[in-house]
Amino acid sequence: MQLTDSFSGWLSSITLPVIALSLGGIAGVSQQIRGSMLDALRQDYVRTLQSRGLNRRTVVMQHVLRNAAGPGLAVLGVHFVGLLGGAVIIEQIFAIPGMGQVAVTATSQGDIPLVMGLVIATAILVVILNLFVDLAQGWLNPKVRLS
Amino acid sequence: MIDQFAADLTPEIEAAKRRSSRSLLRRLLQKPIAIASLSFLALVALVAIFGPMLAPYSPTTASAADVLGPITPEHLLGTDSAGRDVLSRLLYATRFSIAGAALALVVAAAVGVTGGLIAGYYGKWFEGTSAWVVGLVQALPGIVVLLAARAVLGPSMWTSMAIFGILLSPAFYRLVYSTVSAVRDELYVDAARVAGLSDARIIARHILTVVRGPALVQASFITGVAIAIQSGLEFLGLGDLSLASWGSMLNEGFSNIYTSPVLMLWPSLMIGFTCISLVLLANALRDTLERSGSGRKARRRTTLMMPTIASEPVVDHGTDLRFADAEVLLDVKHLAVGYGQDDGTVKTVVEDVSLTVHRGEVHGLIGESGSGKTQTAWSVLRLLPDGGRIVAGAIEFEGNDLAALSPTEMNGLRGLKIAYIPQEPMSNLDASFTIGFQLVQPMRQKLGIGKAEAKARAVELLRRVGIPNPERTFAAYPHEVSGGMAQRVLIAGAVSCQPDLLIADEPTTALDVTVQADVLDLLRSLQNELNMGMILVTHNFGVVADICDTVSVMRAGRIVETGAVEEIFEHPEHPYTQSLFDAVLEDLDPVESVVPDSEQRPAPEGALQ
Repeated sequence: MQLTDSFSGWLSSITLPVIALSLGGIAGVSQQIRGSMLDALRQDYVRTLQSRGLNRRTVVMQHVLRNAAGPGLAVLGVHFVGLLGGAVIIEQIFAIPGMGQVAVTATSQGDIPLVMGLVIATAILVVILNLFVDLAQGWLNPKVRLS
Repeated sequence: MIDQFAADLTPEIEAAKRRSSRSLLRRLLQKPIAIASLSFLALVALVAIFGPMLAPYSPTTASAADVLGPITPEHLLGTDSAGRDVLSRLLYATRFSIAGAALALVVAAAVGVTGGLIAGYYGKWFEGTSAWVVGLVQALPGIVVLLAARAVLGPSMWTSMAIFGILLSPAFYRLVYSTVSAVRDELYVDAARVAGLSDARIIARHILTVVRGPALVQASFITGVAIAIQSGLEFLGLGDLSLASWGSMLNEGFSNIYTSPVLMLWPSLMIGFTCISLVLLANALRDTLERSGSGRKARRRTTLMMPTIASEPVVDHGTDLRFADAEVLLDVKHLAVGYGQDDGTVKTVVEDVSLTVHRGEVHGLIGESGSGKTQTAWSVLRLLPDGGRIVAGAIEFEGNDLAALSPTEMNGLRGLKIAYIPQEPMSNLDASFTIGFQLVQPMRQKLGIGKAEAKARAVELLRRVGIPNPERTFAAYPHEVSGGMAQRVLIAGAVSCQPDLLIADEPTTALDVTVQADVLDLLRSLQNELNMGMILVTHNFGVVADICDTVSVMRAGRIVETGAVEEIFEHPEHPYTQSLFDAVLEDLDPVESVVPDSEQRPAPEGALQ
């Protein structure tokens, strides 16, 4: 179902695939964020910020979360590669005409040039995503901008 | 001769290794999850080995009469669309799926561990090249590469799994490489090298033993991933269709999902439970390895056995007469601070501490590391580390008992009435935000002023604390200023809301000697200007002499002597105070230690649990 045909139809046709595809990533990213939040909470500046009388929510949601977001983002970048692979299977299950299905058809038909093209296309996607992740890291952490 | 010595030791080392791996297994088996997943995996392994012998039919015997047959005594799990016995296929499939995953694991371990060892131990050009290759391999989705390999090389599960093993090898490579490059320059490795041991022996004894535990964890994860990917490929119909495997059964079931959905169930259960067991086992193993000491997680007790704290005599010289009529700002009475332990007891780090701070008075708190001075300071702020609590006593501040306030009430006082200057300037600024933001944010929240006004005040504060270019520092990030400047920023932040009481925890310890005097001058002048009471934690009598009016000497969590600075400097009465002075004045006679046994001393500050 295309977005241009019917919004609600499109929404209901992507809900299950998106849930199925993202579950693993959600678990991985939240595990990482939990760990780095716990690390960040132990930092000295958290006590100092609290000593300034900032309320707990500001300290946790603004300062601690921002410092913990970097590792979470890195994990998200790694998961993206896995999601591209997972999409191949999910597209097959939910009969979604995407890149994954093209790849499967091309492979079973032995269409090697098409398969190679798809590999390059995925590699480019991964490179672009990593660029965004790096830019976001720089925005999150001013120290990264220097190196 | 060295070899002889080493050879003599070898049996003992081997025995110790066996003991340690045995105890790892024993600790692992204390976890119910580990037992459950290990038993399931053992069952799967047994099926993989003996399954085909138990199977009632051949996995390929088709029967047109039994297509999509129900569960019958002959076919315990029914039959599939070709009339093949599902149970037999499942038993055979286990063998192939596990063998495929094992192949991927072996290839990944062989390539990854070898590569990691060479890159980490020998380095040179191989290090750079392999890092580049690993990055490349990790940037490609495994399943897409496998599709391409299948298109080129044809449908063979063994080829796919071998290639997938190479794709997974970075997991081992990174682990081994980081461990080895960390260990490479350790002294004991140098010592082994000097002793003439060959590289192979050093690697085997010193490096592989370090890597072994984490590698097991990785192996468990990797096997899970290999099973999932292999099943995925075969589910897509791109596997080796002549082999019965979990994935091809899944594929078969999926194409008949509307007529016989139960066909999907059996392979799904096998794949699901096997992968879950592997991941849970890996997690349990990692927990066991990381928490090698106590093994079990600290349990939070609700009922703590509160210790009784006895009073001990304190040498009291009385306060500085200048403050006799001044308003009492802070009155700490018989304060005790403790940390709850796993066994329900409370370990006290501050006992029976009483001190008074008048408005305008600088009260020094002096003592060596671990004497409880920082813990006292933190308890006045009510910012003790996790597990810390005020066990007894009262902290009266402007008529309120701080120990009894609700967290919200206490937070209202912090920053506005009571402020804090930390010891280490760099780690106490949030590196992700500009200095200006960190000054403006509390002022806006505490004083309710607008952005522009807060900024003007922040720049003015920065100028006041002696920062040469306040506008530029306002826009700078913490890593762009020096330690001395950062400490001035923290002082500016502490006084930004004009507090009545300032708690400075060794504010000059981390600074250069030349900067220390400037910072002390600054503190003194700000304190005069705002007429603040101040608690200055220090271990330096020079600092006390410089700016304190009164001083309390702490030892092992208690105040042993207190009074006006002049009095104490002239007539130190407690032997511990005298010994501190002796240490400063470079007495010629060796001084007998009056510090109690380390057994009785509280744990070092901040290092609790």
